Amino acid sequence: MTAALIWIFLPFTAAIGLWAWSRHPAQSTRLATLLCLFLATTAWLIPIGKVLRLGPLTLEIQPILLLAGRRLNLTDTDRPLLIFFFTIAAFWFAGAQQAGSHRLFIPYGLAIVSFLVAAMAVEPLLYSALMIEIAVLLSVPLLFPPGERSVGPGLLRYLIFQTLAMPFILLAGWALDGVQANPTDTNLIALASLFLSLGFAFWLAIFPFYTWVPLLAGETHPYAVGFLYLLLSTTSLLLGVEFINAYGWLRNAPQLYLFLRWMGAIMVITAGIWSAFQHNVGRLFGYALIIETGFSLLAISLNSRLGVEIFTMLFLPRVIGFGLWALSSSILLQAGRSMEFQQLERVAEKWPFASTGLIVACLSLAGLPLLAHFPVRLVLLEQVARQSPLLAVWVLGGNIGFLMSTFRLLAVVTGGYFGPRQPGERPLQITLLSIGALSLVIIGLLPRLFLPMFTGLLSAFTRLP
Amino acid sequence: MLALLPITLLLLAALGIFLLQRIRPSTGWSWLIALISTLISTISVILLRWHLPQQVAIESWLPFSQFTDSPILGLDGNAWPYLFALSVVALAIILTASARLQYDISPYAWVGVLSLCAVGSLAVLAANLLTLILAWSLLDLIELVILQANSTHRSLGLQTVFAFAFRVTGTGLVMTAILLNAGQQAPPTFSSLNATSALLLLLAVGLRLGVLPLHLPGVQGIVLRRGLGTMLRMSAAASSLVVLGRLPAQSLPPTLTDFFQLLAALATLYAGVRWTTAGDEVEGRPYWLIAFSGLAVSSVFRGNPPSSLVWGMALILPGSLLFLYSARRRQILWIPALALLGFSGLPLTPVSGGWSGLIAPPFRFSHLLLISAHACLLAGYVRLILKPGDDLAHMERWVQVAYPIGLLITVLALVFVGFLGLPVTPGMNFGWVGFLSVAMASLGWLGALLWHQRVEAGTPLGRWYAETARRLGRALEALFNLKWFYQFLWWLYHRLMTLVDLLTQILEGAGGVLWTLVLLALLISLLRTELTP
Repeated sequence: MTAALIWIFLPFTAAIGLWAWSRHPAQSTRLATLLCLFLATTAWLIPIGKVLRLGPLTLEIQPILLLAGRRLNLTDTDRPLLIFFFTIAAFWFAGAQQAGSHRLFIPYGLAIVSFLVAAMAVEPLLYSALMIEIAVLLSVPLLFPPGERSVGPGLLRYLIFQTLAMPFILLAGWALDGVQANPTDTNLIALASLFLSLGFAFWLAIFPFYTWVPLLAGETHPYAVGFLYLLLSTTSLLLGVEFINAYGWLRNAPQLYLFLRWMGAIMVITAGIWSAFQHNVGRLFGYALIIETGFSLLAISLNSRLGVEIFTMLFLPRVIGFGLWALSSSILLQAGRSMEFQQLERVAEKWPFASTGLIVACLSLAGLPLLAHFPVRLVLLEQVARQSPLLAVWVLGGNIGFLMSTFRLLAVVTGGYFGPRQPGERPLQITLLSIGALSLVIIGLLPRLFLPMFTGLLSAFTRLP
Repeated sequence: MLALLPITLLLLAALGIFLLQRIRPSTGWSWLIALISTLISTISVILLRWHLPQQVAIESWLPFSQFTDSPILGLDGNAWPYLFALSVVALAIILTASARLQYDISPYAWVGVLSLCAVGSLAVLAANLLTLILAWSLLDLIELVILQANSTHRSLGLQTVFAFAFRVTGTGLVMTAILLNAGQQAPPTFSSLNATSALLLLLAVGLRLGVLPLHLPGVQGIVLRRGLGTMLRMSAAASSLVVLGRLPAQSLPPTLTDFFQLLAALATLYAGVRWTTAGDEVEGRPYWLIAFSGLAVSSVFRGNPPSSLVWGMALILPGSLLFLYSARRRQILWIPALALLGFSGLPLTPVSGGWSGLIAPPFRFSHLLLISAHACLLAGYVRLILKPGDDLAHMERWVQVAYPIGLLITVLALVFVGFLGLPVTPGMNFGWVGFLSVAMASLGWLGALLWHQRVEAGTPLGRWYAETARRLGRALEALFNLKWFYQFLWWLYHRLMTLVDLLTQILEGAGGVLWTLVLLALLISLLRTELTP
């Protein structure tokens, strides 16, 4: 048995089965959640490439699967990655019903996860561009379920930019082969760098290619878009790190880190300024994603062990923050409210838990002290300040822009009688929202206990500082 | 660290009252628990005076292998007075609550009082910038929740959010100070602050206290009037004022100091005047806070941070007395009168040491503004303690005993802290300033009496005087309350919003992809020089 069969083909097959079973959303949600939890637990418990003895039985999971001349390679060091992906998927699927997401969310979501895992596993690495493109195409019915809502300009822009990434990455592959054959050819190195930069700029929605992010977030269901943004950006970021890990000339180029620092800072600053003037919660979330990506780039740009640790520790607050935001917004959307600020006026009176969840998520994403994002952001900004104090202050300014918008949202949703009354949310929704909000607070208070959870992801990148 | 014991006790008591109210509601038992816990807490804080300094670091709070900053709590000569003042105020609130039982006081309010006192005390103990940020944020979030839960009108909810936003902006300034310090490879501690970071920290404190720029730091018209409202304001003030005493002396950049000094003096005088004319002490409370905070901030601008403690104590102790002075009787008037004497600044009174930090030669115009502000505070205090209130004589006997004790302990605390707890001891130096202030306040009173006589006589000249004074007052009020400034900022924000909307439409419109490519070309041309080694 090979690892790819378990963690790529099994979920994909299950996705097809759940698609056929999608008329029963409650059962398919439960099945998908359990499957993802099972896959995460399996990745946690069973080593890859080693013989495991269970009494008389022996079990060995082979790391490599050859397919059409390509290799799907999931080694033992990739296990944290698998746990990470399938835990996120389980976390997201568990709340799908309460968020009122479409019945096709589960099958398409599971299929996207399997392709994104394939993108991380495929060798040569450049073929990940194809896998991501398939995931992007699969996300269309996830974002705009058939017959439910009409396609907006955001989706078209998203497809254009994500698809443009693919040829640039493939061209980068061609140039990289040349560089390996002739490492002194500076023209080829410059060409490979250019193609790679553009490819990743499209994938990660780096400035100025991020206009689709808020546009799409304002058009679609918050739960679907939250799921997609989280997984897509995480995969692209991890692939980026894998590229840096794989190519020595790239890893040792000082310009790369300077470029990443500038790009990260520009993303945080521009998205922060723009978010200060938003009046739609969906779009605000789009800017939050851009800011998060910007911070991840800043972390990589530190080119140090601390930077890599920060990079991985940014994931947990992001997952919970996005999840809480998506669930809260979806509940408010179910209640007949749109994502426009005007429509959310005094919404805390009837939906206190969803409103609190939304505000706590936004405050955490804005880096307010005592909440989950703060400890990592503080250390990151301090490290950036050691190299460039002014840039760090600008980045903090961008962050404050997002905070301003959160204050406006807070003023909109509260500001009325906020005392005890029958909440509009269902008990399970209240439980999920409370867990999410409390998690952000507890992580903020006790970062040492929770934030290192995902540092295991680093084991796959052995050549990083 | 022993200093954490009173804080833990207060939190446990708050939890106990909360659980008691859930299981078996009892106002009497709740009051008793609150009283005993605050009493023990105050006594233990007094005992801590002889065990200074103390420090505890929460090691390895952050999970990084190469980053060693940790939250540090420290009790020293600078933090102790504020810790003591807060515990005394909590005790006074509980004792004087007996006189307000007729207003259906909820024991949940005492849960709030004890929790706020504990969190405020934690903020007072913050010994580095990281801890300060965390403690301030905790206090701000608790205040946000309490105020939102008590906001009955939309306008109050909005005020709450504005107040929260101002406070968080102050926290943002502290973060900026941390980053600038990091830029110079210095740790984020108070002692290693460079000039710019120190100024930023001072501005952050000024912003949180409502002094720089002038704004009302609290929420007006909310139901939290006496007990919880007082603790809310005092814990926020103490947590900010304590920072002033920690700033290194002469650390501020001289170029900007004069400008900010004048702004602070103007804000102080404005608040002093508004305090004098306030309808009652609760309405005037924000102005009392701003005025005394202004005096404390001005001490730092003059390069004497330890003097700020004196003004901080005057803000918290006599202030709390007046805000808790709801039931009145002629026989207990001597208690607020003693408090008045305590902060009068006359020689050998507890606050007299504060003048040395405020009125250092050479003489400047702002000195006059600050002395006038102090005189206004004295005059307003006299006016407000003479106002009628609830009748103490008709309350139960035990209330007639507990209530005056609650008021008296704030006066005793001022005397105790003034002579034993402050780095600046009372003396005769600058005694003339105290006399000048008292004389100005007396003259003000005399002038006001003559004025009333003239106006009440109803002569045409008297009416003209009254009308002219009203118009002048309105004009000055409109100028100094800075509403025009905030309206301008709001207008600017809306204009920027229009601009951003326009740019968004361009970038997200039909030609958006082309615009993106143009931006990319622009970016490459800008960054090319930066990235070329």
